[in-house]
Amino acid sequence: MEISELKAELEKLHPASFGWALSCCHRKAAEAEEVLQTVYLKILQGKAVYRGESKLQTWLFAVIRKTAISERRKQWLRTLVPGTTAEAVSELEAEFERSEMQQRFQQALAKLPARQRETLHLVFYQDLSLSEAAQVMNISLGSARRHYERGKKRLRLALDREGVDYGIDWNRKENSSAVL
Amino acid sequence: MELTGTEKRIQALFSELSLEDHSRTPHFEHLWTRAAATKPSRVPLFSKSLAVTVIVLVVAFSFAIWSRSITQNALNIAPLEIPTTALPRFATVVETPRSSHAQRPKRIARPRQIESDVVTEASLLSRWQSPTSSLMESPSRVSFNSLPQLNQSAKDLESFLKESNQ
Repeated sequence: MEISELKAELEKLHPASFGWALSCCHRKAAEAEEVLQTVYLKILQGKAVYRGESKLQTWLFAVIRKTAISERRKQWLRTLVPGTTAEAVSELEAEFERSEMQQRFQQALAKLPARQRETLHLVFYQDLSLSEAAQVMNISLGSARRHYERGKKRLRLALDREGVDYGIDWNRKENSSAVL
Repeated sequence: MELTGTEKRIQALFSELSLEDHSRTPHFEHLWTRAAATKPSRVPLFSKSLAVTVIVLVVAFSFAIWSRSITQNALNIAPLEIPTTALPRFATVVETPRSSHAQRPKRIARPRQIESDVVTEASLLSRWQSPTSSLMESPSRVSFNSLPQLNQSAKDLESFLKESNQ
């Protein structure tokens, strides 16, 4: 794929990519922006090459995830230096502006294990199938399904504990086998 | 993908989250341009090989210097001094037997006497044998130290044939 063609495709996927980067960076906007920029740099340098073996979105999300993990490691080293950064301030401001309901949902989401949170994000936010989510996370379909089911259950329990009702009938019978 | 009750609700919450994220999304062009600006120019291949060559040369040069200094240090070591006490007769100054009364001044040995002493010592040294030399002896020593005659077997065969013909 030519770089101009790839650029156009990346531009289309950019909002979804940023959402995924946010999820990988614990909802930290500045970090997500840095990760996304690094991903674009990798593509420009030819370090990340799309070979058409899977959907472009699946490939791109896998690259974003890997980059976020390595960036998080670097970030951990930076956090050894104490002090509140401007990024932390802006995150607090964003949290203040958020609705209470959304805030509680995000808190409940943040408490989930990373794999479960990622699976739920890819399925519900990015509208990917479980097999595509498994590809992004580099795990088997069975594992992805397990993370999905457990994540859903834990999220429901956490929201119940938080008292987030929103008129949702959580105990309604559902057909889990329909999800694929 | 058909969603059920819980899933629909979760998706509603995620949709709200995505709306919030969309408002925070930075411009694609902004990030792309920044990434392109930070893209470092590729290091040409020849410069990599040049760097490797330079490193190898530096290592070799430093090794050569190091080995040279080691050799010089070895040459600068003072030679072992042979204890002169073991060979008192080689001394140019010979002490006369001390008298019980008083010490006499040292007398310089005469050249002829020294010469005869040296000859005696040399003959003694040439005849000297190591006390462990007998351990080095073996019955096959003679055959190891002697050269075989190349045409010996041919001569033997010739004589044998002559004898048999007669």
